[in-house]
Amino acid sequence: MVRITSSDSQEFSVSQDIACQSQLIKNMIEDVGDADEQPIPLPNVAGAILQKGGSCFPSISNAPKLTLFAVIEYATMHKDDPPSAPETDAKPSTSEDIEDRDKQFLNVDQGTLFEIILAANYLDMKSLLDVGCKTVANMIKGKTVEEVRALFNIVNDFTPEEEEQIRKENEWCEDR
Amino acid sequence: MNDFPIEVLKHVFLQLEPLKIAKYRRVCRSFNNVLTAHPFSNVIALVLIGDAYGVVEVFCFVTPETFGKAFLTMAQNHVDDARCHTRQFWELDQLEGAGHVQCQADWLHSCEFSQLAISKDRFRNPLVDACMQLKTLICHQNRFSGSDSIFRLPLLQSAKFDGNLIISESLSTDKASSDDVAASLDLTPLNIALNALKGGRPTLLLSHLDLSCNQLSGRITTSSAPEIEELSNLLTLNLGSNQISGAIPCSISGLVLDLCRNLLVGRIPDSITSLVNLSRIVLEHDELGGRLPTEIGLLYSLEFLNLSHNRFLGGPMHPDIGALTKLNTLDLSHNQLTGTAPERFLLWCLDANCFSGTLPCELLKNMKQIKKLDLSNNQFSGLVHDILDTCRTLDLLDLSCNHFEGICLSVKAVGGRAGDSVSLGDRNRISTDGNW
Repeated sequence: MVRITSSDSQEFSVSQDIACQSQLIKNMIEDVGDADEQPIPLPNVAGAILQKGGSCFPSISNAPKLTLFAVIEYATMHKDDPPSAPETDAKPSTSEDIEDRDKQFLNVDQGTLFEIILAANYLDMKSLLDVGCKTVANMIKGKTVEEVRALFNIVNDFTPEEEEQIRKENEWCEDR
Repeated sequence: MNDFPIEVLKHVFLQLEPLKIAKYRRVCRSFNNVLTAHPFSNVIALVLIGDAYGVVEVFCFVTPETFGKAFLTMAQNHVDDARCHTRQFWELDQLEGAGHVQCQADWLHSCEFSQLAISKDRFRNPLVDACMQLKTLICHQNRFSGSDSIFRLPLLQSAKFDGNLIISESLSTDKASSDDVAASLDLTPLNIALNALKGGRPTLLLSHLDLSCNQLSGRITTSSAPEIEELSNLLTLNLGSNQISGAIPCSISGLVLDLCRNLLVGRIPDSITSLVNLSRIVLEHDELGGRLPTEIGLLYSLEFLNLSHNRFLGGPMHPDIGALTKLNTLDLSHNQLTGTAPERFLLWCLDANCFSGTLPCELLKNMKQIKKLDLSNNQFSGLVHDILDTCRTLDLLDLSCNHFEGICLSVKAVGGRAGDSVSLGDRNRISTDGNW
């Protein structure tokens, strides 16, 4: 077992093969040697995130939503996956092909989704980062610039002149 | 989402179709920063023109820096010209806006086109590492400087790389192993293709390779037989307009022999006659000499023979050369050939030799398709009227600097097309009536 602690000092105990889906943790364990001694601190992974009712994780509805908890859940779910095949000549996957269980897993509010993606990025979990980014990409797909801003609450931080300049450069690809 | 690290944003955009992400530059600064940096700096400019202009799908690469109205106009013209492009065929001809395309490789993985034409652009790096489906690659007049990888495409059948900056060194993998550094390039006639074999993924299907107008140098030597056999599909090897030196090797093969505008010396090997399927011999502007092998007359498939601007000597021409029924172009000009001229050609270009004798007018009469007759600077003699009377379809006639004599009645005698090039008088003894 490996002990890891989130930024808000909650401790989790997970089996090594689950923890090692994170390249970061794997490297840490390899560096430290014996994993049982010290809990591994993960100061960048947010601890508890907002509790928003039952819609987030169907399997654990009404429980406090913990990013790390969610990540561990994902890792547990995928622990029996065959090791990802090295990039071959196969076509790159598109945003279409998300497994159903992943789709369900990531059927969460935006804040949680972003937290999970950030955690996956920090923890270096390629498959989770992939599936998270695909989910976001699917949300962006087909939307106009304004819709994207509204969807993600993005503040337009361009000056009008700057935006006009980009609009000019992008004349060819703007929606007609 | 503004606070996403760049690498995460990049990851998100990588999931989207490259053609459709550029518009999101306008969302906010961090989006713009990501989308104008590697690897999107090129993708962002990947324009699907077809949608904009109607039926055809044509894709072009442009970089944000070079993107502009001029490009769009050009692209539009290009699409207007295009007739039936599908995803099987990409054509990027003459798009000045094209920049470097190296990092397209990831993206090109997903493409299945079998033909790629990126002619007359300004590409520097072969972008084709990833296009494993390619059968035809047309990259002439770019600025490629050579990369082995272009020849590792397993399905490649035809590659046109003329007019680039490819040099021997970058293609020759084993140059260091040679003893003589000065002659170390050891550019075997098939070396370029052979390197692909050494590279692991043989381009065994390669049948047409055009490397003319590059900067290849070194001498042509014969390489070991087994390797040549592996390239049995190679039909066309065009190495014209390079700086290749040495002699023509005996073991050359194929259907087309194009080594023009190089620095080749020596004579045409007699073994050439074993290539009974040879259809084109292009050796103009070399330094070749000696007598023409009489066995050329045995190459019954020969359609095109250009040996001009060399130092071929002697004569008379072997009568067999007149028996090449498929031959439609013969250019022997600017040599030192003597004797009577070979007969029976549709297109004669024999100027600046020392041929002599009268012209076989009876034969000329039967050659209705003759377009161009240049006999200048020889020692032909005879009555010019007979010649003009027989050649009514000429576009070009040059009889100057010979020993012709007689009276030329009118221009109309020469096919009647005013403005076509006709040169008769110079140093002949031809008098004309007032119409000249």
